Amino acid sequence: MTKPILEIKNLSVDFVLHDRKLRACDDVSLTINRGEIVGIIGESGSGKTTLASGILNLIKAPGRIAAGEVIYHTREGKSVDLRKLKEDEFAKYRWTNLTSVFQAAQNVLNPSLRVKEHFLETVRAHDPKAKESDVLTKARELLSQVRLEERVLDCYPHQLSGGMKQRTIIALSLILNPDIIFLDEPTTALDVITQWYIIDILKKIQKEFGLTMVFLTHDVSIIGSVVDRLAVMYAGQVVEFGPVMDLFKRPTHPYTAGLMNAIPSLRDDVTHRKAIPGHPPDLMALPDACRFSPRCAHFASGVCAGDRAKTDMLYASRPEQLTRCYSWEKVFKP
Amino acid sequence: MSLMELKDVSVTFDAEQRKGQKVRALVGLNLKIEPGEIVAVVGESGCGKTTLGKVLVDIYQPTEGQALYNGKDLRSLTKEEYRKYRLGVQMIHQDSYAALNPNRTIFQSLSLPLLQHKLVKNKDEAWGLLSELFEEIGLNPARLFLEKYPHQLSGGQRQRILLARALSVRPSLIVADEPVSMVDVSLRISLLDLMARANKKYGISFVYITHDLGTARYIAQHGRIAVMYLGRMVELNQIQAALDKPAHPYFHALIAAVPEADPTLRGGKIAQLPLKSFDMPSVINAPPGCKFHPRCPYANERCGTEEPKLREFRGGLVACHLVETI
Repeated sequence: MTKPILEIKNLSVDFVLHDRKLRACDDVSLTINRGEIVGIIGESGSGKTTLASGILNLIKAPGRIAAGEVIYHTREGKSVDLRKLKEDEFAKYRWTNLTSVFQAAQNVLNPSLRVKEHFLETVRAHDPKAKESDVLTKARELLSQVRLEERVLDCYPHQLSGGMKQRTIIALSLILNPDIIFLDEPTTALDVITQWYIIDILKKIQKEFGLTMVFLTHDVSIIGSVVDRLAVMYAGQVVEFGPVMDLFKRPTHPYTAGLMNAIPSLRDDVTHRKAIPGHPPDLMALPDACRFSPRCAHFASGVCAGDRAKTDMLYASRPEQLTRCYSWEKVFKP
Repeated sequence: MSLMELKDVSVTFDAEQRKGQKVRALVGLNLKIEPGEIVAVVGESGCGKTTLGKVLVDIYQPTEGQALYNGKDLRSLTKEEYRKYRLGVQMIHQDSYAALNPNRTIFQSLSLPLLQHKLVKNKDEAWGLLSELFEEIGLNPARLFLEKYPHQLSGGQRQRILLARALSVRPSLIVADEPVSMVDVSLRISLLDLMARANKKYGISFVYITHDLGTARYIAQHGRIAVMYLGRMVELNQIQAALDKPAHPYFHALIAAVPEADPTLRGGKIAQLPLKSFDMPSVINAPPGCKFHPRCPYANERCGTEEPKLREFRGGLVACHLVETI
């Protein structure tokens, strides 16, 4: 029986710029189950990182969370609304329950501290009385999990390669036994071989610790073979959510379908690959219609009228698959 | 005669941190680029692929060896010939934002080379030529884009503008250094299509530098692929033949590491990469013998001492002692 670990309900994040409001993350609802791997894909500016920051309460001014609830179900069976916590109460959950590896992770290590000091500092922020030897034993264990040698503990960040830093940060994020980890573009800027290696390590860690993982990326090919369920974001909204296999084989939103068809791969016939025409909308000047309509072939051909009001909700296209396209039955005829 | 040829080119830099040490970014590289062909250059970061591109456009000069344009050494060109070479070989950069002057409108930036090289008589003509070009590569209406500043455009649009800039001087070779790696996935293919079309329509040769084998295969379907490792070329072949039957063990590993989006192929994925270690050796202290031997699962004693030369194998070139047995 799958139990939810995180329920995100109607989360909206606004940024106020020059007296105008930009909704970077619009009414997002997702339920993430304990122990599963969820992928969130979307192009730059689609709101992936904002969503993760919203969940972790890391939104900085001029941004603010306009509405929504984030309910976290602890290992002990308690339910906490993370949005109602005060800053110091939330701090208790960060690292110990929810943790994140953010984009450009290579730059998050303090250049003037050795790797072991990062581990010590992190643990002592939560438990000032933690013994150095205990922390380092744990750190060594974690480093071997990510296949790094002990000597890394005594290194400064500049002595490590990009892939080693990324692995160090993954180990660091696990030091306080979290049960859900957000990985924002964990392999961007890394070479294919390093990328393969990091994904391989993450898969094994997930299995061993029974972690819940949330991958955020713009490149679906990286996570296609890793995740269980996939959410597709477009212009701040989730446009489709469901099991990864279904999204690949039977997408029910034209954007998902286009995205799956836009990636050049090594195996199949390349002549059928096609880009999605146009470009993502300006969030300050959204069309008064379905947000995808300017790029949608079915809107252009008149199959769908692109009624904005009807795209304010998600439709269940299959028992476990949700889509924002209300014309999905017409568009994706069996 | 090849359009552009690199003959035994080596490029050596002084190591920044450790005085007196040398970084050998390119070592004894030979490459011929024929008119109208597409060559994809692939490899991990630090393998020298960008240095190769910069030698082609004469940003870096070879420490040893020669770069030839239409059969003539770049250093022996007359002023007029060099000017023609500069127009004939163009580059598209990875970071489209950094490649455009933020203080100038697109028209100001793009009309300058046209006026400088007297390809147009005046600004009106430049406007006409650029508008035509913009419509052709899908920046409609052209006026809207020509009057804008770089920050007002999206990454995909800026990358199209860089392509237009390269095309505007009617070059015979375009060196594209990771042109789509910073562009959203949904727009990548359309840019690659534009380049393929320019290649067909005007017979422009392309050198497509990338670490992404998927896009390399897409653009160079009928072209060649060069695989680089630590400054050396380790494999050169027709791209489809190379991908179907990779010869060099490094290329095997590179192909195996490419992520496959389709979840149905999950089971088909191999559990382990054919590699002994995942980290690239440093360019400064490159290992002796075959540069790949510390990571190669097949390496024997000879690989540790003797550096393999490029030789013919199954219609392509490969630098490996053991390729027949693998």
